[in-house]
Amino acid sequence: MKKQSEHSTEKIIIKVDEDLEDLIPGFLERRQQDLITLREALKQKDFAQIRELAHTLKGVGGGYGFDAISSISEQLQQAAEQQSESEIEQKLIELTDYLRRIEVVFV
Amino acid sequence: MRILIAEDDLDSRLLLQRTLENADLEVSCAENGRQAWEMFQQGDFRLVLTDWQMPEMGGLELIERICASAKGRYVYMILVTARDAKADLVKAMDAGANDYVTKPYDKNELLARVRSGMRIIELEQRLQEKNRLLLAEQKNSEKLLLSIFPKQIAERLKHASGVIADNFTEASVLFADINNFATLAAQKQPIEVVELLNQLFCRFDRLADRFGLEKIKTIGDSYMVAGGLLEQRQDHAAAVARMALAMQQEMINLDWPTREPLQLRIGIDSGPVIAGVIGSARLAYDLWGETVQNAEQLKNFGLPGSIQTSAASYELLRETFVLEERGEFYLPGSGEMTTYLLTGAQEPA
Repeated sequence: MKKQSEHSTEKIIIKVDEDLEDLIPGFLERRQQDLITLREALKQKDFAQIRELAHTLKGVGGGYGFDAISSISEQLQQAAEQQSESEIEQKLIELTDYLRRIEVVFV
Repeated sequence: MRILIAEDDLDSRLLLQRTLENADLEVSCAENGRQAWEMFQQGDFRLVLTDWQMPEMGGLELIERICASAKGRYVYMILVTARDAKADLVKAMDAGANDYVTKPYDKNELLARVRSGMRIIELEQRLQEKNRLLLAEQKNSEKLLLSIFPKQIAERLKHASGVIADNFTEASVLFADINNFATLAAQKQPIEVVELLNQLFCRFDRLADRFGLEKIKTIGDSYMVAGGLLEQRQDHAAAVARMALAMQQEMINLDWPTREPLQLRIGIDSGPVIAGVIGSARLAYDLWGETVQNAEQLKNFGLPGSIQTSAASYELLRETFVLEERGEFYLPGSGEMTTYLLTGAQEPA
């Protein structure tokens, strides 16, 4: 049942510290860029690059309030270490879907 | 206290900077280890937060460099990294990191760890300040010790608790006092008397220094100095003789209006002496023996404005100084002795 939610259009409300408000647009923009980079790397089978980028994303996501970026990226990092293309593909879909559905609320 | 951040990922860096700045902390940011290292060398950073993996120079190398360079200066370093294996933590702390925070981190935890680091830095700074004061105190007491004792004796007193007693077989002792001082002093105010003696004896101290002699003590208006004690030397008698001549010259130069001019009586003898430190309160380095007694007697029975030496000193001085025989004197302890008056140095041939 969970798999279906990946294609849901339902918004995910993310509460972010208002102190970070001005940083969020840039942050999300760079994540879109990351998705492109990751897709390209997968095409090139550049697992090292995927692993490194996933490692960085794992570190930075939760700090801004996007815990799922950290957890998905951790799995993505593992998938890259195992060079599992299907698993990487799966995680990229999850990440893309998550980023598409989030709606940020500053608190 | 400005904090240095080393982080290559823009978002991580911005987040860290914002988190610290919102807690009213001053922050400088570097984009990699090398840049951080350059900033560290130029600034006064005591707290460093660094990522592990960075281009050009990683966090561990940065930490190691800071550890190696920060001589006497304590720098608190926190590694902020997404690497979360225990082995990584051990490696980082062994490299010199004080703390380790894994990303993503809880904002409050990070700030608590930074505050903890700042407390340690403050404690360390207080400790340094105390050490500095302690060192200054130590220097003061050393200076005091050196003003009371010859350098070698001061060193021995610092390091050993036993009795200090030395036997010197070849030394020269000089006693000097101001002729008829008690009568002269009675015409002056006490403060003037003290000022005069202080001025005169300070000049003598400088002379003793110049001739490499040990000032032993002063008793009232009497001044005692010796050569050949701690710095063994063949020319102890000559050095003491030069000192005596210079003392007479100082006396002439001294400006102290009295009805009659101030005159110095000086006595010199050469021979064995015993030297040591006595007393438990107000310790003093002093000399004993016949040579000391003789020098004092030669001074006591000397002529105002002249320098009287023993036969033993005469033998050591006759080739380079001008001395006149004064006559036979009876010295308690030594018996009959021919004494000499030292009037100057021989012109070099």
